[in-house]
Amino acid sequence: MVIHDISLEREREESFPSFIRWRALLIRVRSMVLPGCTSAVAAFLTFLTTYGISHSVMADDVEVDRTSAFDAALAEEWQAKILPILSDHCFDCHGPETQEASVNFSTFTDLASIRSQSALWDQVGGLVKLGAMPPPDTDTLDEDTRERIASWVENTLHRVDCGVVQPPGHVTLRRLNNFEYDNTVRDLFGLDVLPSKKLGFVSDEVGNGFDNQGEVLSLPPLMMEKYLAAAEWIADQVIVLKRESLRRQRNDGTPISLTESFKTDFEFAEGEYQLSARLRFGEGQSGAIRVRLSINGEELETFDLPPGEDTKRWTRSMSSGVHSIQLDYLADPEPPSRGRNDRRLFVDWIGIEGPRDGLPPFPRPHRDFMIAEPNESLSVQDAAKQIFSTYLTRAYRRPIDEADLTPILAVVQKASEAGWSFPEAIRAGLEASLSSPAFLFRAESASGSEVRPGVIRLNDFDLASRLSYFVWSSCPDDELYRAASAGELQEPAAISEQFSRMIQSAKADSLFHGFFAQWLGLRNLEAVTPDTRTFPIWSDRLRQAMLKETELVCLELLRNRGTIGDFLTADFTFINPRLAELYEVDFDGKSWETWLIRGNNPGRRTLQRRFVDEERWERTSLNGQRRGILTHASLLTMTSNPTRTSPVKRGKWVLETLIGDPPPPAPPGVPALEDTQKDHQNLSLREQLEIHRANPSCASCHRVMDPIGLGLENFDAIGRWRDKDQGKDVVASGELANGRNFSGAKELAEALLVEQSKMSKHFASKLLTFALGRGLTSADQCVVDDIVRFAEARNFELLAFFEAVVQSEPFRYASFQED
Amino acid sequence: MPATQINRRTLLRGAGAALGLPLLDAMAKPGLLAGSDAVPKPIRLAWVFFPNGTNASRWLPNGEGRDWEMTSSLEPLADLRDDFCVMRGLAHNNGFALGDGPGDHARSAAVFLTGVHPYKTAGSKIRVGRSADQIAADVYGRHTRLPSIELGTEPGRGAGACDSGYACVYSNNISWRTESQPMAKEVRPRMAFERLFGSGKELDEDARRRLFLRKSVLDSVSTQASSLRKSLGKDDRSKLDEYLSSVRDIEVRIERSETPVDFGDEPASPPDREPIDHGDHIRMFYDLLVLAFRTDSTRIATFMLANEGSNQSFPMIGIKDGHHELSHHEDKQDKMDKIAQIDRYYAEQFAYFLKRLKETPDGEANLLDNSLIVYGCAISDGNRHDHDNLPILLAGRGGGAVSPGRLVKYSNVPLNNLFLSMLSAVGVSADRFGDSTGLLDRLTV
Repeated sequence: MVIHDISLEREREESFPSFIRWRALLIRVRSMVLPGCTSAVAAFLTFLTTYGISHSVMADDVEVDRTSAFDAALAEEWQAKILPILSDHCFDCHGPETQEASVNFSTFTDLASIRSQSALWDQVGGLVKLGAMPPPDTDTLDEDTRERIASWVENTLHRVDCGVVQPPGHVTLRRLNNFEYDNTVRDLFGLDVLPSKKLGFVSDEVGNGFDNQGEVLSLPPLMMEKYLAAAEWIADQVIVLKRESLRRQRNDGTPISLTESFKTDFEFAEGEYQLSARLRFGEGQSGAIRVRLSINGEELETFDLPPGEDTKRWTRSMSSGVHSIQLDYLADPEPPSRGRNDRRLFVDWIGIEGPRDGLPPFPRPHRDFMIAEPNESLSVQDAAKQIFSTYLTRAYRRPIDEADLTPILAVVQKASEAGWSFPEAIRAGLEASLSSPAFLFRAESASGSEVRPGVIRLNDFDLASRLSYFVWSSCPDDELYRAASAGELQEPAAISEQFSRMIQSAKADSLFHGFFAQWLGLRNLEAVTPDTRTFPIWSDRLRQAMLKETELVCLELLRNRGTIGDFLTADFTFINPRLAELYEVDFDGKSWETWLIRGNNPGRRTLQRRFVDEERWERTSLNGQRRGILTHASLLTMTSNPTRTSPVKRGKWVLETLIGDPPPPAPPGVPALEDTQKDHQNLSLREQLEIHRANPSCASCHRVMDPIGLGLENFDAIGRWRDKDQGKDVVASGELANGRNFSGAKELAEALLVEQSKMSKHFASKLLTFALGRGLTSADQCVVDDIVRFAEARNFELLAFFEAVVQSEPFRYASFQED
Repeated sequence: MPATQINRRTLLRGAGAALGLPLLDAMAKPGLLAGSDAVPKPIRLAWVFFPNGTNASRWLPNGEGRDWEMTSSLEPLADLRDDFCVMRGLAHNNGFALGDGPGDHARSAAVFLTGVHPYKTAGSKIRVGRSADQIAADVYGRHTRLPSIELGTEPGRGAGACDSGYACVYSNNISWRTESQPMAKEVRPRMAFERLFGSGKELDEDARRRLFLRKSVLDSVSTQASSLRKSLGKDDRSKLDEYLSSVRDIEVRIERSETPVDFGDEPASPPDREPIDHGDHIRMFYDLLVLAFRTDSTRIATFMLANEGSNQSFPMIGIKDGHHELSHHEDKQDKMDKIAQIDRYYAEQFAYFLKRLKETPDGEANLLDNSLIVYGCAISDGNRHDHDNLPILLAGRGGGAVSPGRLVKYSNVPLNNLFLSMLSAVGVSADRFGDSTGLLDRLTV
């Protein structure tokens, strides 16, 4: 490893521009990694070498000199290249004589003056890059020049010298967001009860595109009241006060439709039980429906249920443990075609009573929690202490001390003194702990080791929490906590091992809701309402199926070596019977129509389309024009208007969300597309857009956005394939702003692939923002570059981005704040 | 940025133990009902906000003094014309871009009760100003179970920036406890009821136990928070201070809630159903506000009829398009008509509220006479996004502080001046806040 240090230091001595050398260095260091390591670990070691060691080597560097070298290069470029270009091409309208839009470039003399007007210069960079300025009808700059100006502006405004050690940044004390709260409660107690829904938590504020940003998550009194109420409710769920009360239990049911099931779990002791189910359906109608009751998937009885209400009872001898009782709505003699809801089976509740002899068992959450009970040799305080010593380390996600225990035990004691029973007093303590800032906030301790002034390496427990809330949106599990306790997480290889284990766990599915759906903007799909007159097959179930498809594809790409480019070109997807209909493909080797429940009438509005095996998903290969997620119904629907597609929205979405290169907002005073449409009603949307683009002030942005959206015109506003739009043939060919031609969505996706490095950079920025829970700074741009470089060496695999994030300095280190 | 005179942050800067309610010497000023010998009743303050501006040509009445012409959008309020003032020419100049580019929706909600230009950010360094209701709540809110209540019909939006680079928090809130912390609003009627009145029943044994437990939990967490606070840096401390002040608020509230609410002759119970539609949702909250004011459970309320930029559709009046999309009407007649219909629909609900207040006796008078209720927003025309000549109604008499029934014309006067006058009417004497320049003149004749 010493060899690496020396080479690093040498590289580092030469300053800006350093990024090209960085890449060479990375490859060189990689080739030197010890043989025998697995490739992933080797890659991490490489990465770490680049970070950890280099930074400790650089700790004594004089930052100012480096920064001025960086600025000197920028200033030199300004004088030698940028200013002359502006003078030749821009001063006519934005110079000493004329100041269109009050912009005068001749007033900018140095970097400081430019940086002081960063909003203006951001716009300059954006418009020049797009070719919107200088106006295309008067003057043009070649692409290299445009790119040069844009990147110079970017470097001046948003970059720092990556050759200089940058601070890892500080994450503001983070409250658990609602999703994290629910998941944490689930994993702490084994109770999947969604307290945030039950108690109506205030929805989390979103910042930087995500709902887990420390600075934005606030705690108004209303939310604190919800937390207190949730603590009380959860404590009631976890701790059972009277064991005898468990002899009769009832779980609430739900209405189910034909082919649907309702399943619920109970904990049994060995012995004889009476099972019961309160069922209602179709009062005043005729025709008995067929229902099956099974236990753990094994049929107990299939029976005909006539209209009306009935409480069915069964007696059965059970073995101890958790068993699930399931009701299946198998058949209905009446065809369900009229979109009626009145043939639904209402499962009011399912109950158990027993065992006939002996005591009912405590549920698992109770048993796991109440690990001590007071007796002659164990006082209430000592029993409480045993319970909370164990539990608090998990709830607070770190080792605890007397200062943590005392206030909780004080609550227990006060309750005991007031004459409360032991379980009641423990409940009170549990409530106090769930209302505690140590539970509700993720406070990172400054007790990590200081690696250079003002910067600490996070201690194992804080790092474990960062990992678990990043990958699982939940608390560390026993294994991660064990690794933290053993001090293993100071080792990059151990972080890598934990990460690999965690990402494969089902809990990592939360990354879709937490990260992917927010990155893709897919949470907005909930707010989209396609017109059901135009699209009779639209339903909320279809919406959920669309989301599920994108979820399954994202998670598959993540876990099975998918790359960033696969978002554009993946040749597979996942479908259920409902999506098979939308996409007009077979499901499980059979036409989608075979899965549609007989009697449906496709001509009618608001009909309840039902499919057999709605919950079954299969992976399928894509044919025709569908590729990647660009042609997912979810995204196509989200970027459409209620009755028609919007090529502009689709193009904008691709540029903004996928590629990370958003077009600037429409300039003021631009006529709307609708005006064009009104004047040219007989033209296709494509032709209308062409007329709209004929206006130069519209052209520059639309030239970039529209071709992308038009390339997707073969997909209607809910993502179905179409050859014609309003009777006219769809033409889905075009030319991207970069000059690449394409015909159809498949070629479009391939043409967009040249933007892979921009996509990667944007993806890395988003991922880092989510992982850290804070907005990125200029200094973080260097980290983003490093993440992209690391991923590039791994063929842009998604996993490589994630791995690079968890090994990055801002993730493992923290700047701590003075007062 | 114009500073708020009563700065809560300063008060919070002490450690947890030092947290106390602001010790301002302002006293509640009772309603001044002429000729009444009875105990004077307190003045209630409410701000009702609607999103997306209006179709101004059909909303803003013309005329002056008592001689003004009812407009079609306000027509549902015709029976009540002697109970409110139309305030013309008030402005929120801090709602304009002022160099910050697009984002008028976010700015208009943020500026509405603060008069402060919000800092443009998608997440870092959220900052606007304290809102009028919270300045009032610090002092005037001490007299009631709940210092103030914040209501709305739409939860926050869960994705992305809400408006051109402004964090959603600006569009989702009008009430700001500190310049960086919004007062989240309750959107579920049942939960709002329980927050105000508990279960609505006499405290039974079980409820007393829970109260006892709640208190000891709060004691415990205050201790924990204070010790955690010592180990934190500046930014982190301000987050924990939110926690501590919320805890403190709840402690105070619990003390006040030990006496059960006196519902008088009309017992009340929590709403046991979900709202049927948007209008029903609004009316359920108006009912709740009447109840809260009648029982003096709070004297200060804010109500966002919908979040700014809301794209709510109004199928109950045949409008399937979204409100926000329609509001960019580009002067197209059909869209402008629909906007006017929505404006009128909101006015109908407001008329319901005022009527309910008016028919509720309060001492010798009625609740409306003892209230000051602002109805409006901080965008005038939804298409033009202007922030002057705002659509503002001021309902009620404020116990004599206002002479209603008139149209009062101003010329580009800060809306905050009106709020300053409202604060003054309840004895909260702030010299200025936000961009206010003084008390608003001509509130009485």
